[in-house]
Amino acid sequence: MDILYCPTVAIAIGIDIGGTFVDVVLSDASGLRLFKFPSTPDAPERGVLHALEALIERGIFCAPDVERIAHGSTVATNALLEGNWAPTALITTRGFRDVLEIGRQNRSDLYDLNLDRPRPIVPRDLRLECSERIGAEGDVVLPLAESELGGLIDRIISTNVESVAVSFLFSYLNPEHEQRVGRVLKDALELPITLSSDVLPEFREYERTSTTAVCASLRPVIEQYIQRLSDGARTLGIVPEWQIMQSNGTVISAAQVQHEPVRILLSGPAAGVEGAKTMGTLSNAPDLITMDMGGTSCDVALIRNGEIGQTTAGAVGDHPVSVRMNEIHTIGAGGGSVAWIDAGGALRVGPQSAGAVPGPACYGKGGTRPTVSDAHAVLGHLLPEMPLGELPPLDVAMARAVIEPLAERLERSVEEAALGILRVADAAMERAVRVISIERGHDPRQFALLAFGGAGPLHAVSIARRLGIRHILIPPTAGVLSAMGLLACDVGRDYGRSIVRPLRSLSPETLTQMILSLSERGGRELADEGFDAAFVQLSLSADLRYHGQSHELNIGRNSERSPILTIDDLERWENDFHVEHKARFGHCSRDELVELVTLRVRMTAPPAFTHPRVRYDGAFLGPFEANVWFDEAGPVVTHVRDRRALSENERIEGPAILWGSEATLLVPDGVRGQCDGFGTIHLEIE
Amino acid sequence: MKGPDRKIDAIALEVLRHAVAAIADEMNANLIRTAYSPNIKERRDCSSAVFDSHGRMIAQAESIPVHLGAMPYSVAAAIDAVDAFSSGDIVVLNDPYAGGAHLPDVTFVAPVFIEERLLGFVANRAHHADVGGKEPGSLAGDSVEIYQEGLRIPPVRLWRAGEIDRDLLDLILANVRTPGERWGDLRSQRAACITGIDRLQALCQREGATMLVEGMSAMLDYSERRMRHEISQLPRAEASFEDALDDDGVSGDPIPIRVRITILDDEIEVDFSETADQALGPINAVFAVTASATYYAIRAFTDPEIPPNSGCYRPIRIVAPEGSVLNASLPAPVVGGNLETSQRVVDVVLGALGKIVPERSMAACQGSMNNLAIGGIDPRNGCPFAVYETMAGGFGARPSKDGIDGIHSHMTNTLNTPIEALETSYPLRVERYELRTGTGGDGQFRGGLGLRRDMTCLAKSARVSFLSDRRTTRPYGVNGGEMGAPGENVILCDDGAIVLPGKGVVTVQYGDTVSIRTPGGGGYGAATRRSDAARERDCREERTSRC
Repeated sequence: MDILYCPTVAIAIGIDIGGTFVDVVLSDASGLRLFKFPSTPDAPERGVLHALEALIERGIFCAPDVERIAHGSTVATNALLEGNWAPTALITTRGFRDVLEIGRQNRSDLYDLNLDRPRPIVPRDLRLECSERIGAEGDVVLPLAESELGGLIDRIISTNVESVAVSFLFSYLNPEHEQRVGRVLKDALELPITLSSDVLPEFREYERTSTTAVCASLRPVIEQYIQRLSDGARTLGIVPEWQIMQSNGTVISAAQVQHEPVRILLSGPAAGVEGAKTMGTLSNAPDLITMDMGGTSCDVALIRNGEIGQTTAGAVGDHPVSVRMNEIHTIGAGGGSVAWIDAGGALRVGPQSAGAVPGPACYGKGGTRPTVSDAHAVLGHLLPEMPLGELPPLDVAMARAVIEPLAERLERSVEEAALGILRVADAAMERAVRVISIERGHDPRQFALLAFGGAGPLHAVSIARRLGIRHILIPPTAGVLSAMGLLACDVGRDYGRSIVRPLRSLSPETLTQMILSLSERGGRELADEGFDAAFVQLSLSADLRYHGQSHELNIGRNSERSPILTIDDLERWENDFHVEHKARFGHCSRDELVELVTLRVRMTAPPAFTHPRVRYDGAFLGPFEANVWFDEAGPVVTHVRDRRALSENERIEGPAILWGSEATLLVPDGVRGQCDGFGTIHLEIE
Repeated sequence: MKGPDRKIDAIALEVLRHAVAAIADEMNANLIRTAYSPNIKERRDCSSAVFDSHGRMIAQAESIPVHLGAMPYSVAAAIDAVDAFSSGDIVVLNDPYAGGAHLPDVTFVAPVFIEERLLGFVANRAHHADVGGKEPGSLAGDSVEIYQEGLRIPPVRLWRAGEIDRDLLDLILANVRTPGERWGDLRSQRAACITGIDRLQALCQREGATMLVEGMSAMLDYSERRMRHEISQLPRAEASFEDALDDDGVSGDPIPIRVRITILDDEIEVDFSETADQALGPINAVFAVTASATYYAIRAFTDPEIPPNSGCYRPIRIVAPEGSVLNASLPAPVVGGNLETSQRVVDVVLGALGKIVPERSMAACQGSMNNLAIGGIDPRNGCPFAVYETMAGGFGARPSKDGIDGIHSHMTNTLNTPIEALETSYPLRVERYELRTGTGGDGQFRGGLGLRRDMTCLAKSARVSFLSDRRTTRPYGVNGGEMGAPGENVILCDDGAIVLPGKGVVTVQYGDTVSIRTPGGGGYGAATRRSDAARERDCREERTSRC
């Protein structure tokens, strides 16, 4: 991606809400500055507005200078996970109202006899049916029974629903019935109406219906949230329209997102990976495994040739949401993961977490169970001399006290028990990295490890060693990479259209027509964002598969720039599909029929960004020496430095601890490296 | 084998457990990734496992429970059959009477050497779409001998020291309907073995052979301790339970399945001695299948988090007399043993355990996989087509909550085919896909509802085979809960609605509709104790017809 080094806006703000903190990144001509504030989970917009207000009051920026504000939020995700969506009605083809509930008929756990299925977004009595049927060729098998619509409208009025979804079979081939129902409902009801052929014109009725129902049920929630945010910001004097992070790693204006909140459901981790990609690109590392380890979980993703792996098989709380999103694998391992000994006598770490409250014992907020962070405190990786944001100084004695009982049961010293906790946590994280690399056919040794999040840099070297990774990157803004990703990523949107026909039966002209209609819509929407057509970039791709398969490969991503397809392009797609199939799955079959399942168009424009160098204000932590445990051999005298004080190309030699305001980097003996011009630390492992 | 003083402590145990479990996961992911046939690639009907040099299973990755704990029988059969393994040997087998489960499940077993030393084995199992026999798909519901069910492969080396035995391969491929796809899947299974061998050797280099060998032993002991711990929490008691299969598909009488379970301190004895003799039709189970279903039920009833390996089965003793329907002898047909009988084994084991621990008892789930195959000629292109589906039904009610409506239970968990995919690929139109109102057994907690799926034939004609159960017997309720409704297989045609038996084959014509209606789950507790709120919701949502 291109980064424009000359700022074209006075001030750009990236603001990201996590479980514990609101992270704010300010970008102006002098560089990036980072700020952290407590978040307010019960009313997320309050924490955001409070952070902005505090920064204005402290004179950090002036409201009228803000020309861009980009926001990443878990509001939609939390509403879905906590069941706080708006009451919604769903209209389906007659005979199919239960598709939303039956799903793919499988259960989420093979052995749990007590399991629950997630509550359907729409209860059965609000799933209404309408006589109509489109066939597998897009043909009308049964005309829409318009006479039934009056009854449906009466039924909807008699309930308290706040939103209506419509999902008919095969509407991705022929949306006419859905559109007619949509028009009638809009005339009769003052409610948002969401059509599956608008949200996700792609095949597989359950995934499409689920995505549409989720979308409809979150519209009232997100509209209100965005309203409160922009009203509050305007009161502070911040006038630009908010941009919101989407799960696919691009931002778009709030006005567009509020009609399609499904696009922002997994935006939190997506922004972090975008930030990681940006820092990797700056440091000439296009092949990365990113590891974002925080307090309760660890998100792992893979970037190849500067492109983040994407998936359409996402789900939130077991509700499928089949829009394109960055592929991220999450496990329950973080600084707050609790260590315990199970009934078979094995030392286990997680999945339970001490969370933000009470948190690890060493944070002195009442935690009583040993955690990964406590192990680091006991071993000297985290020191009382090193400030922890807003928290009181680290309490090593408390950490020792909670690990002691565990050490007694293990018949080990407290330090040995702490090292054991870290080894077990590393083994679980190694497995997570193996899932997104080795299980997908990639050798992790060909990648650099980019670690961030509060706990990532503490574990980076040990994880890399377990996987045979030689090169590690620790970006300067590791702890707030998500907020930086908000400013660095493109503005854009994805559009798709399912076809499900043999590729060779399709004429390039027909496909070109479809692409033009999608790109016209995209161009219009980006023009609304204020982008001149000259800056808008189209990238075209196609989901292809062999006839009879049920999973597709995305071909041609980001290499097709022209909307005009020729027969040569189609032949190249087919050839690329065989090649990619061979690379990913070990074989291909050139005599088999290749089907075009979905055409995809991504329209993007570069962000008005930003100087990626971090600007530091205030005094640095003075260098000192400490006794630090790296392994069972015992403590070694170790240099502790403030990483912000490192100059460009300065060498780093283990054993060392590099303290940063958001995360601490552990550099054992035998590991060396240096700091690059963007403040990213590169480590090499022998 | 004991090395110098490297004690496997609580930390090493957990670190090694992750590492060995990751090897099984990676083998299975590789198998799914490289397989040719949709049945492995999409429905994930396969599993992979790591074994020590004695053939004891250390870790397993399974996508469906019916493979749980069954592969040690394959490895034991391979060890019996081969005098001296060499590096690069791969044994292939599917014979249910020599380490297999039913013929479509083909198992690979490969030794892992480090230098000259046999470190252990890796193995994987995959359900192949066709292994010959009298009907396409090798799932004939009316066979009376295993020879009609397909090609039997005893444990034989298809690769010797890395070289394939072409003669043997040709013999296998000459006996199946889709040799190209079979060869593709067989190669994927070998590739998965090689992945497992490489990973186990790499782990051995990282941790040392002695550490790994001791660690594998320690993992078995670990799972055994956890299982014994769980069993010791159960009351020392004995309970019997009886249920039945509708019929064997050939003769019409119900087939009783009986179990007596005894809890002895920290061990369980599961005795099927009173079960029926083996049947004429293909619902017989070999011992490995009976063991697998028993292990599933005990694992689900106790602690599903115990790493599944041979250690966790040490405290479980299973008795099933030879020649019975749960330990069939040659030449009994067995294809439905895996698919239907395994479900009933779970029903009786959970039924007996529920008598011993009433607060954990649950009502029966639908108790069938509702196997359906449709084949014919697609009028759109003149090519043959074949569809195979299993269908969900009601989940049994639990002591604190209703059963789940329309979901797969117990021994299977394969996905449905989306309607839009089905109609695009095959000459069929789905007329409805919905929950069956009123089919869950009533009770304080209601059984889950069965499903109904109606499909109209758009080909000139088609052959439709059913392998299903609970069409005459019904899923039981517990503690006064009512039984779930039975399933029905119906053809809707010009002559009206024709009800078919649970197992068999019919021909349908253009415009005829095949209507599969699956069983509901049993209820829990007396219906009079059901809360008003729950009744009101059931009525509002049309989940019951008693309003």
